[in-house]
Amino acid sequence: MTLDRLYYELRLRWISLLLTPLLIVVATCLGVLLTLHFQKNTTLLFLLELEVFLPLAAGVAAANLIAHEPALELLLTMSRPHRVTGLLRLLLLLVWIACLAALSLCNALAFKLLDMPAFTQAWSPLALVLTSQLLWLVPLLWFIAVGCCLALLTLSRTAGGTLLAAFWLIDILASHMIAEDIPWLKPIILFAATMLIYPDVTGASATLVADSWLTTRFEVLATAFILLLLCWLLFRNTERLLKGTTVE
Amino acid sequence: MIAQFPVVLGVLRYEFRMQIRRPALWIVFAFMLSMFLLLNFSMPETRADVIRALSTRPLLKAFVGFTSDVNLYFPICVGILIADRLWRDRRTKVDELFWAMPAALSARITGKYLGSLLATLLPVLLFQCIGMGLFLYVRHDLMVIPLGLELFAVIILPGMLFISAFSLACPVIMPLPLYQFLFIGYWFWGNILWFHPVFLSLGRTLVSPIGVYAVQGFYGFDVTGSHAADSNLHATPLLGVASILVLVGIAIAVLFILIRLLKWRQAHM
Repeated sequence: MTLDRLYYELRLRWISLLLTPLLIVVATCLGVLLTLHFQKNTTLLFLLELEVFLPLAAGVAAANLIAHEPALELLLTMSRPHRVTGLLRLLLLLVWIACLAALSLCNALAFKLLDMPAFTQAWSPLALVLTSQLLWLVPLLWFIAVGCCLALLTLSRTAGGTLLAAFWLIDILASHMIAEDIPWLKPIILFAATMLIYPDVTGASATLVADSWLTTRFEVLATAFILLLLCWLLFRNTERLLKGTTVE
Repeated sequence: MIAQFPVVLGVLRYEFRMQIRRPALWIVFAFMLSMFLLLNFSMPETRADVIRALSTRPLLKAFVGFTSDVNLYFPICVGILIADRLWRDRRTKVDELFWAMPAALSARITGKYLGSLLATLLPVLLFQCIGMGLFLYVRHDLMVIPLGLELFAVIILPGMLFISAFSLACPVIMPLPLYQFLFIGYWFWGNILWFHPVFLSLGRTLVSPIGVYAVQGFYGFDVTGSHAADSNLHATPLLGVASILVLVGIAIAVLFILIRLLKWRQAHM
């Protein structure tokens, strides 16, 4: 029964759920092949894929999955609460993108296509693989939580998508400024490895990685969990959800 | 064609009113404004830096930098906000009703494009006016008002016409979430990475919605406000004009193709 339901959800939403993340992975693979052909470093490509683009795709998809439900009135009459259906869809999205990202990262590490800080050479392979998963996991959770929250607050997938895109762009362009001048905004630095540590990844000291990357990962993770809790509460207000069917 | 002009005006007026009343438009504007204030004025050091830059840098250079920043952040919002306009007609199932009306499809699409674009540009213009206010407050020079409007017309408008045409047309042939994501990806690749000569980017060509050629050709700076020679791009005023014409021309061509495509679909239904 549960498998049937999962299969049905996938068939219903395969474009939002499966296609966009897959396109990113395929584009990265092509980019990596091209970069290797010209004998250049592929680190930036993997960082962009794992830390910058896959989480954004997840956020946009989450906003669309939650805000756009043509059969919402019907779903609200079912015995299964709508929030369970919504969270099931988000879980599917999370698991699919997590599988793609983990596979991509493990491949990059195995074939030494992604530079790692020199001090991590003393680590065991398992510790390295597990710690490096934070690269994609934290922004992914954050974007899914924010995408869902924005969709539930604005009840519009356009508003949700636009706000996510605007925040994503601001985060990319203002990371250095925030890190240097506005310390209280550090918990919103989502792409720390790409924006603050790259290009000198190999030469990055343990202190720099701990301050710029690891600390902000935990801060971002904490905000993601708070936002997921907020999503759960917003999902309970079914009357408000119905208003969204006429917003756009 | 002239007989369809009142239709264009009517659709334009209706689309403008519909878009301007969308909460999403003003939520996004409020978010952008609050991020601008947070990043520039929340700490005494950054506040002092901004005031110093506004008061000591040459006015033209500082204002070109400000307008280019507006043109870097806002088009991504404008593109997504316009992307669902035709899709909405399909979702609310009024498109078939429109086809039954005597108004020509070309007039309806033109009115829809202009109306939704003008309404979505209003918050951008408001943001540019905030910039004018800041410069006026610091410089006490009324010339900042015509300069701000000129920069809006030269740097921001052509790029907005270009991306809005694609945003209206592309969701007709692909799902909306996919377009949203592809558009964001294009903006990053084609416009944020323009200064990286290693990346093959449209941002270094005449088809640059952030107005690299217009800014350098007319004002002698690159879009970051640095001296033009730093970007290693040789733009002249003539190339600036060519860039604007290419952007507007492509926008018109995209609208033309969109109208043909919709007519073809209508004929094959």
